[in-house]
Amino acid sequence: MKDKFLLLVEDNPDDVDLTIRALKKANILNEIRVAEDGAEALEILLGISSPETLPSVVLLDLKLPRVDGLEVLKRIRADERTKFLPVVILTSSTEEEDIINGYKLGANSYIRKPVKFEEFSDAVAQLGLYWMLLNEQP
Amino acid sequence: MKDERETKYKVAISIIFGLLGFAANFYPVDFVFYGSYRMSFLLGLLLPMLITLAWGWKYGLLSALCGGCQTMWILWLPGSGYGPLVSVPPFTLWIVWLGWFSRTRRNIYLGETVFRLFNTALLYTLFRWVFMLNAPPANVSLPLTVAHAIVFKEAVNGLFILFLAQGLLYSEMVRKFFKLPKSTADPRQYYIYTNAVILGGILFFSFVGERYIWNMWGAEFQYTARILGSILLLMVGVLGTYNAANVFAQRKTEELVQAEQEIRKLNQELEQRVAQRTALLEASNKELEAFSYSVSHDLRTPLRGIDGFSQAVLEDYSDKLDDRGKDYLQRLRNASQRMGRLIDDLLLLSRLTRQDFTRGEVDLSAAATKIIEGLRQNQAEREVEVNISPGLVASGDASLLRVALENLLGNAWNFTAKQPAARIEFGTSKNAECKTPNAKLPNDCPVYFVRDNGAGFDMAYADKLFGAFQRLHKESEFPGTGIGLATVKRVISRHGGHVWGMGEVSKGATFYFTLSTETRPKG
Repeated sequence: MKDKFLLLVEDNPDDVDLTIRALKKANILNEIRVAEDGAEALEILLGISSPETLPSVVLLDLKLPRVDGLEVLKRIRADERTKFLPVVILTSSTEEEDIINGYKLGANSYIRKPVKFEEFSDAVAQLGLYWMLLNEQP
Repeated sequence: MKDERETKYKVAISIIFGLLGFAANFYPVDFVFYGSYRMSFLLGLLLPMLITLAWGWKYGLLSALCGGCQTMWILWLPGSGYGPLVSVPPFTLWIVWLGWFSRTRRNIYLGETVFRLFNTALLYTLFRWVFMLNAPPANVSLPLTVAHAIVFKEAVNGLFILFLAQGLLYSEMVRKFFKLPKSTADPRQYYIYTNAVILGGILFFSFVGERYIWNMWGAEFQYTARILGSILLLMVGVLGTYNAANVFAQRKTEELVQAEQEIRKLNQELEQRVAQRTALLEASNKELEAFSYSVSHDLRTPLRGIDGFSQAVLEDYSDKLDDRGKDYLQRLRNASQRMGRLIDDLLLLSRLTRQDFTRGEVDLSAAATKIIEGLRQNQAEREVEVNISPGLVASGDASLLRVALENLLGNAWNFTAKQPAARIEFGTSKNAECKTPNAKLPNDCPVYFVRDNGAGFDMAYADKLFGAFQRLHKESEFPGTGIGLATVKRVISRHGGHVWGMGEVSKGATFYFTLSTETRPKG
């Protein structure tokens, strides 16, 4: 079995670095792939040939260039191969509409990125642990 | 072009009326009183009078000069010598004067009185004197009794003509002929003029009829004629009064219909305006939503970078930094975190305005108790005596009211931090029983209050309390973003209520609020 990996969809390089840092600090040593916008994320996910090569979890930002996060989520859920792929929305927005739409479109979780780094890294660490280690995929 | 045609029409009518008047005045209507004394009415004067009242003094003058007021030269010249030189021109002056005076919108009979005084003075002085210039034997001053008679006749004649002209000008038919707009006068005047015409008719039948008509048919016919005439007049009177009443009712109906139309039009306009405003408001709300979405998302992202990398430096390079460097980095982090809280609070404030309002019964006592429990859990080390009046139920939006109470109780909690025997109270009283009753509210209006014995504030700054980002205390003393009371105010405003504060430095503060301007029904 191939190594599990995590797909981070995030356009802001600072957030990318900080997320990776937080995951590493939490001893999650799996590969982390980064897509810098929605289109790239879809290329990676829907271009994959076999289900074994899907990521264990997608950490998805909402406000993205080209194709935005909710649209990415919609397309992931619309595709047979990625229908059950765990997707966690990790974003700055706490607008109720975003949260509701996120869950409506089938997000597995909705996490708001806190400003305070300790809280942020705590959240990311928990996410990583849960989805990479505890969660069983179909 | 249209104006020119109208002017031509007016000039033509003025001239024709003048000529007709000239002719008509040769046939004065005589009311015989006794012997050789005649009361003769120059009805021809009516024509220039109509012109001058309808179109103004210029046309009146034209009509008068074209003959309307000139017949008297011929009527009176033989035997009167120079007399008419004084007595005839005032008729023309009369027409011009009343034409001008009617445009001043003052009572026309006032103008008539002024003219009559002037004319009377003229007749008694200059007119009497001018006879002395005549060739003998007429070169004597006019006897006073004759002057009395002339003055009296002219006064009655003038008033009668004016009255008749006024009355005619109330008739829609006559107004149409003169191309005047519909009369706006009180329709009750129709009654007066109709009845006046009837009275005039009776006089005519009694005096003129006796002299010219009845006698022609023979004395034996007089009684029958008078009875028939009276019946005829009575019928005319009834019809005239009925007509006047009809006009009156019709006018009232027209007014009502017009008023209704106006109201309907206003209503439509109002609806249109409301729709417009609503559309504008919706558009600006949309804009605000987009704005706060962007604020929520974009403004926080760089802050996370600042905080995160500062922490990364602290973690990874702490051996290369002295204490001062570490302190600076820590301050950087504190500042960015504080900015994050500010943004969150600002978003909360804007969300409060946009959020849907769902009215229901809200148990304020239970909500307050829950909030206090939360505060106690957060700071278990603090000892605060809290007194919440039980059973305070209000009508309002539960989530909004919770936010308001969270802020008020949270403030009370924070500002009593330095008070060893901290006390917080939540209750209700009537407006009049408050320490600071709100003058805008009725005395029995229910007022909720949150009272504490904490840091308080200086009443001099009371007006700043409810502004966003207004703080009356240093951040280092009492933490906060300065947006809590602005939030409270917005919640209370959306409920249609009032909020005000009362405080004294280091003695505590009381915040009062009402949830609606309505009072409880009196029972």
